[in-house]
Amino acid sequence: MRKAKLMAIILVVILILAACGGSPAAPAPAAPAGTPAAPAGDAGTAEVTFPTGPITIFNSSPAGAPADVMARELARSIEELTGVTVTVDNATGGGGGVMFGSVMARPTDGYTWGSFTAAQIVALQAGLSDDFPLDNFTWVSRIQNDHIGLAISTDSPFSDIHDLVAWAQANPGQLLIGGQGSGSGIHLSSLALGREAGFEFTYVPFDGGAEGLSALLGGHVDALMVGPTIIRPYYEAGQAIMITSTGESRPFAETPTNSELGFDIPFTQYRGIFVQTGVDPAIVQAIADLIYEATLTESFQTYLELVELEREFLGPEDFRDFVLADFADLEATIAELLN
Amino acid sequence: MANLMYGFSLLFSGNNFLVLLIGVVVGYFLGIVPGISAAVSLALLIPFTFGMDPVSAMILLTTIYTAINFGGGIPAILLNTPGTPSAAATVLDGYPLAQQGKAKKALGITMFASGIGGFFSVIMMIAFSMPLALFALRFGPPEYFILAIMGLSVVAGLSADNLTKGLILASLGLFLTTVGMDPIGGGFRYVMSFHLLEGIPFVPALIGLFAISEIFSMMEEASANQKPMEKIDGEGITVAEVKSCRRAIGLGSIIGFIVGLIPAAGPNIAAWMSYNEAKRGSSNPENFGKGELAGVAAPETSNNAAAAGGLVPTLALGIPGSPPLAVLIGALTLHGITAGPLLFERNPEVPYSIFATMIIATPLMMILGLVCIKYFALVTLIPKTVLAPIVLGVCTVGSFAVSGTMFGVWAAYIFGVVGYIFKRFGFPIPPIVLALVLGRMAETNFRRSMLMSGGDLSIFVTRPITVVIMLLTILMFVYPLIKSQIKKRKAAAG
Repeated sequence: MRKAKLMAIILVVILILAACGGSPAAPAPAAPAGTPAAPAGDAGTAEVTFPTGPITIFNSSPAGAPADVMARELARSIEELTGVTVTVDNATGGGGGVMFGSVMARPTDGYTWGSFTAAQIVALQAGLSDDFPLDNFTWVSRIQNDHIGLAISTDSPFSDIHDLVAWAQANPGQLLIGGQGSGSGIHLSSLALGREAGFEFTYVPFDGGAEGLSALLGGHVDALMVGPTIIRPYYEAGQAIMITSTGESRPFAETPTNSELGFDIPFTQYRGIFVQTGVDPAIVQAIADLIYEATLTESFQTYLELVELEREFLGPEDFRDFVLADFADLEATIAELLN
Repeated sequence: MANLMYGFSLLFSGNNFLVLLIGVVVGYFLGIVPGISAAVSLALLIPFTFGMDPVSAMILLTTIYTAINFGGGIPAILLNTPGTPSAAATVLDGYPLAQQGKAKKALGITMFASGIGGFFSVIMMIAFSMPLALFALRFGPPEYFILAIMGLSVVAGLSADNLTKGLILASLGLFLTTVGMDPIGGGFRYVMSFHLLEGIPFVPALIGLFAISEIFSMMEEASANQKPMEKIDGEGITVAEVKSCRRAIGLGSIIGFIVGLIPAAGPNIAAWMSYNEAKRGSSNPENFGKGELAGVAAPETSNNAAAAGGLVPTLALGIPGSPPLAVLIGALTLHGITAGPLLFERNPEVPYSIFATMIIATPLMMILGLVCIKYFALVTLIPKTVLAPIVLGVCTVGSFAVSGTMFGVWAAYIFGVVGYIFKRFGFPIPPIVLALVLGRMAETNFRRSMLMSGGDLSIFVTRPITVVIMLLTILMFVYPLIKSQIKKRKAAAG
């Protein structure tokens, strides 16, 4: 009797598992390249009517993260411009893989976009490109370029980058620099800074921005590689300052830029939009034009002012070249710095 | 005080009080549904707040954040399914109580304990926000590691009947937390699919181990022609019973608040620690796990106290203590308000309306919960043959909701089958759950500490907080031995 019961349970399990097989949500990484899109307009001619229906933007960051905020502001501006509904869907997890999978599972009609950041290029470089080869994606436009630099607490014995470098040179490997992630753009930026300024340090990776920040404010690390947007509230409260930064202008009056200091650090935190390969090139161009217009709307400009970012727009070709160059740079830098 | 009055005036202006009431109901509901954790709920609701002013948005989100921890204990008691990860420890005694027909008592103590724990934390938070937030900053990687070890020592208490089996499962749990991208080295560990890049998903694992494994047991019982419960014990919780839990509630409030304060510790860990303390200090520890009211009171007090405690560093410093609080800060950003050390100065309407909300909402949720107990308890009257498929459906939807992919569902099913097998062979489930909660925290912070000290282990004994936590852990281990020695002596003398 007992055995029969166990068998019955096992059968039920098998039935449940079988019933769930062949789920449509399981992403197929194979690229459905070459399938021509069939938009409402005439795809063959140069003029396409886009958009005529709702658009979905998949986003690998959680609600409220900088890339998510950007996607939502973009969505709002596009809705204002065109009247079509734009939904932002947070497909978090898998180092961006869940988002890539979600985009790839949709039709190639140009109505499904993904938000692309420097973090994803790192994940792709780290091995995610085995599942999602780069040619699966068509890069449509870059929207922002966020800056990054070294922050210290105001309780720190250092007052500028020169103090810090001098101490680190006198105590090789003792200086602790925190940052988000290992092998990330932030990690590589730290390594590049050490190389450019000629000092040795220990990098302590943290999971999220908040963890690193509390380690900096609590004095558990000497410095934090981070963006000026995150530091600003602590700068204004007199708790932290930045002592280096990427970009052409100083984020804070006391913060010299890398070019002023003579450091060549290639990494930035860019954010943009991609679609899957197979979308009609005319539609890709239409999407890029739409994004271009959306970033010029008043509401988008207000948002950029609020987060203190400049619009650094790139169209499809330039953005593709930019991303591919970044991917190649990253590979070379990882090889050079991590060994 | 004037600021707090300002908070109250905001709370009672316009539609804000209505927003609070909606938040209570929606939060309860979301808390009851397994898989929809606090972070997921808040992320889902953010778009609804776009049309609101920042204060109304914060009132809604804070109420939901608080109500979720109230709701999470309900399915834990009735269905062996924690509605939120922080209610995992509530399962241990809550479900046995429900099976004994005492669902009303278990739900009653849950509501009462949640209310007390939450209210205690709110008062502490309002009184001492800034100094407490600065205390929380003193926790660096070495402190987190020692705290995780203290948490893991709870395994011994959770597997008292069979320590070997408990340790085997705890080790398995620790091993499972190493799956995914190596947080320090950056390499991939056992990543067979990109879904595993960020590790074994915790919520589906929890749903599988507790709920789905129990569904198999339900089917077994149903096929054994067990009669469904015909009526529930009419009696609710009595004053004497609440009094008997006062130690558990008191300790749970304090442990919950302190653990909640520390970013990255939070309600999940607080609940387990308080459960263990309640058991260790109890006069009848052998009854824990079999349906002890204090075993429900402790984790429920603690997870609510910790949830409120987590708001301290979030509001005072802009450092979120847990994923749902990170979403809360994200929501503020979306409304154009920067969380950070100047929040109290620049946007006092935000923290003070949150304080006022919690002062009003916490007792309200307790009363609402106590009133609704008799309806919740009806679930225990549903025949298992009907209940099992419904719960399975809810679990499936819940695990799907975690990341919106079938991967979560598969993970939950696999953990369900594995959990059922464990139970058949007498392996206790709690140790593996505890290891899944703490494994990653222990590993990453140990390795960070080693980076900080250049590989010198003395970093753990040269910092005051680590030493205090270590001494407490040792004391917790030695105390029962001393107690039994004293008893023996007394017995010998007598």
